[in-house]
Amino acid sequence: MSSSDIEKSLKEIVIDVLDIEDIDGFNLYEDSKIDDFPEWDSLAHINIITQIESIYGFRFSLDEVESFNSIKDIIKSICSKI
Amino acid sequence: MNKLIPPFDSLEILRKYKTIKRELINQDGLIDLKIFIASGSTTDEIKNTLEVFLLNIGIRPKFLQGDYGLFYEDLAFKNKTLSDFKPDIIYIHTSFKNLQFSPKYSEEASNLDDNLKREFKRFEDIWTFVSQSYECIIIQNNFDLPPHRTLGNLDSTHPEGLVNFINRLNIRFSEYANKNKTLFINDINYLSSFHGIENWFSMTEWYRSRHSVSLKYIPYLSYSICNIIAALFGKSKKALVLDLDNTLWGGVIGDDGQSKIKIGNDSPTSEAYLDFQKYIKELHSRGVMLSIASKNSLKNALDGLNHPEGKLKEKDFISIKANWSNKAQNIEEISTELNIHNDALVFIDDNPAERDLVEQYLPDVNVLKMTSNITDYIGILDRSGFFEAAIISKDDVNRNATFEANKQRESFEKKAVNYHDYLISLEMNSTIKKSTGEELERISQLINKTNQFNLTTYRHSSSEVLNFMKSDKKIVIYADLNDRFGKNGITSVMVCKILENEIEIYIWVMSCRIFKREMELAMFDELVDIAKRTKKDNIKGVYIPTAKNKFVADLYDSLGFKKIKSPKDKQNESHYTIEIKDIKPLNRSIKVINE
Repeated sequence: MSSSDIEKSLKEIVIDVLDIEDIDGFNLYEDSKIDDFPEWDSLAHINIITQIESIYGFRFSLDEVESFNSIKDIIKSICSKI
Repeated sequence: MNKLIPPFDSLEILRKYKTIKRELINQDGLIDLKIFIASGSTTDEIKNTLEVFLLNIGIRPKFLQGDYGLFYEDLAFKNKTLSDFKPDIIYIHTSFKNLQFSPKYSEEASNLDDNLKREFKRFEDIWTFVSQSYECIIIQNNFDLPPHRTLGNLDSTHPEGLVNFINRLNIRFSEYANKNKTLFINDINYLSSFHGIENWFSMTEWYRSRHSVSLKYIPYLSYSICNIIAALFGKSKKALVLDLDNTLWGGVIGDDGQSKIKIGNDSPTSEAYLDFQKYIKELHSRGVMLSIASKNSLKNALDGLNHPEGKLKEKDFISIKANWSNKAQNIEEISTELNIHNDALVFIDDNPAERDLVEQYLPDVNVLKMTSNITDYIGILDRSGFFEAAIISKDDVNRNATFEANKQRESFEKKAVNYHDYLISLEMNSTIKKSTGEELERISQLINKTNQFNLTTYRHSSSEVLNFMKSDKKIVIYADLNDRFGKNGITSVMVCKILENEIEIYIWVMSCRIFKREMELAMFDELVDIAKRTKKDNIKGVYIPTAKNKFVADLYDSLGFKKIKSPKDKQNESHYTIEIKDIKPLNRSIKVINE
C-alpha cells in the first residue's frame, strides 16, 4: 500500500469523525498539521486513532499517539507497521 | 434506521454518529428525556452513541455528564447542578476498574465478607441518596470480569480472588435491583463475556484515554442501555410478524407437504428450526404477540403449523395472513388488527426481497437482517433486544389473553349467520348518560385522542369540557358498552349545542374498539329522545374531513340526514340536517339502560 492510499483512507476517516459537510472543499495533505483542524480535539483524536487501528489491525504505541503532530507523522507510523 | 439495528457496524456508528444524528433529530413526536451520566471512566462516546440509538426509537435525550471518575462524589452528596438538571435517568458507568475494596493478594488476612460489605455499601449509599434526592430511574452497570487473574482458576473460588469477589458482588447488585423498582442493572458482565473480555477491555485504550470499555464495543454498551430505556418508556416492540417457509420450518409446505418439511428432531436442520420455534414460543408466553405473513394458501399454512413436532400452533397467532398479496399490505392489516403502530412490529423473513419490500413501503416496521442460515436466527432476534422487558408484568402476559378473547369474538363473527344475529349474540348493553361533571378525565381523553370516528375533530382542554358540562347551552352525552366478553368502559361521547329550534352535534367521537357495533345508532336514538323532550324541530350535523376520519364520511347520510349548503367560508365541511318528526328508532342490537 502506497502512502497516497493511506492518505486517502485517512482523509475519509477524518471527514467522518470531524463531520466535515463540505467534502469537496476539504483538503488534507501530508504537511497538514493536526492543529490546523479546530474540530480535531482530543476526543476526535482518539476516535481517529482507533478507526485507523481497526482498519489496519495493529495498535499504536502509547508514546506515538501522544507525539503525532501532523498527518505525515501518522502516515509514517502506519507505513512502518503494515 | 437499519444501520442502528444489530448486527451493526459499531465502528461506523462511532465514526458517523454526527451525520446519523442529523438525519434523526428532525422527526416529529420525539419524547424528551434528561439523562445524567455518572462517570467511573471516560463517557463521551457513550453519550454520543446512546443519543443516536435513543433518537432512533423516538426519544430525544438531553445529557449532563458527570466529572471524570467522580460518580461517588457526584451522586452520594448534595449536588446543585444535578438537582437543577432534574434528571429522568441517572446512568452510573462503573466497571471493575472502580472497585476500591477488592482483595489484594498477600495483604494481611483480608476478610472477603467485610470487603464485599464495604464495596457494596459505597454503591448502596449512592442509590439511597439518589432515590431520596431525585425523582429518577437509576441504571447501574454491574461488573465485568478482569482481563487478568493472578490466581488463575483459583481466582474464582479463593477468598482473595478478584473473580470470586466480582461474582459475589454482582449477585448482591442483582438482589438489590430485584427489590428496588427504580434501579435497573445494565448487565455488562454478560455483555463483556459475550464479546470476549479481551475485546471488551483494552489495556491500550485504558492507559491512552481511560476508557473502561474499548471504543469498538461502546456502541454495544449504549445499545444495551437504550434497550433498558426503551422497555421503561414503552418503546419496546410488541409483536412479531413471521414468514413460514424456510423461516419457521425448513422447506416449502406447498411443495413438500406436511410430512416433508423440516421441523422436529429427525435431523440437525429440523432441530434448529424447532429451537427457533421454542425461542419464539417463550417470547409469546411473556406477552409478545405473534402473527404470520406468508405467501401460501391458508390451508397449507395451517398444515405446516399443525405439524405434530412443531412448537408453535395456530392458536398462538393473533393474525394469520396466508395469501398471495404483497407482504407490506398484509403487515399493514396486521398492525390495524392488533391496533398497534408499525414501529412496534418486528418482521422476520428469510427472503431478502420480501424484507426489502417491507423496508421500502413500511419504513417504520423493524426488519431484522436475517441470513440464509437458520442457526443464526435466534441470535439475530435475541441481540436485537427488541422485546426487552424492564419488568415482567401481569399485563404483558394478559395482553395475549385479551387478544385471544378478541379473537374468540372474531371467530364468533364468522360463525354467526348474519351480522345482525351476530350483534344480538354479543348480548350488548349500554348506559347512555348526560354528564354534569362526572367522568371528565375519560371524556376529555376520548375527545382529544380519537381520530377515526370523529366527525369534527375539535379538541378542547378538560376545563373547557367541564364548562360544556355545566353550561345550559350545551349537553355532553357519554356511553359505555358491555358485551358477553366483558366491559369496554366509556367508548363514545357527544357534545351538542342547544340552539333555539335545533340541536347541533358539535363533537361526536367513538373509540375504535367498538366500531361496527351499532353503538352510533343507540347514541343517536338517545339524542333524538332528548330533542323530542325539549321540543326541537331539527338536528344538525357537520362532517369536517381529515386524513384519518374517512370512516365516518357517510355517517350522517346513513342516519337519514339531508345534506344542506355549507357556509361560504366552510366549503370543505359537509353540513346536514334532519327533521325530528321523520326519525324512527334505529338501534336494534344494544339494550340501553336508562338511568
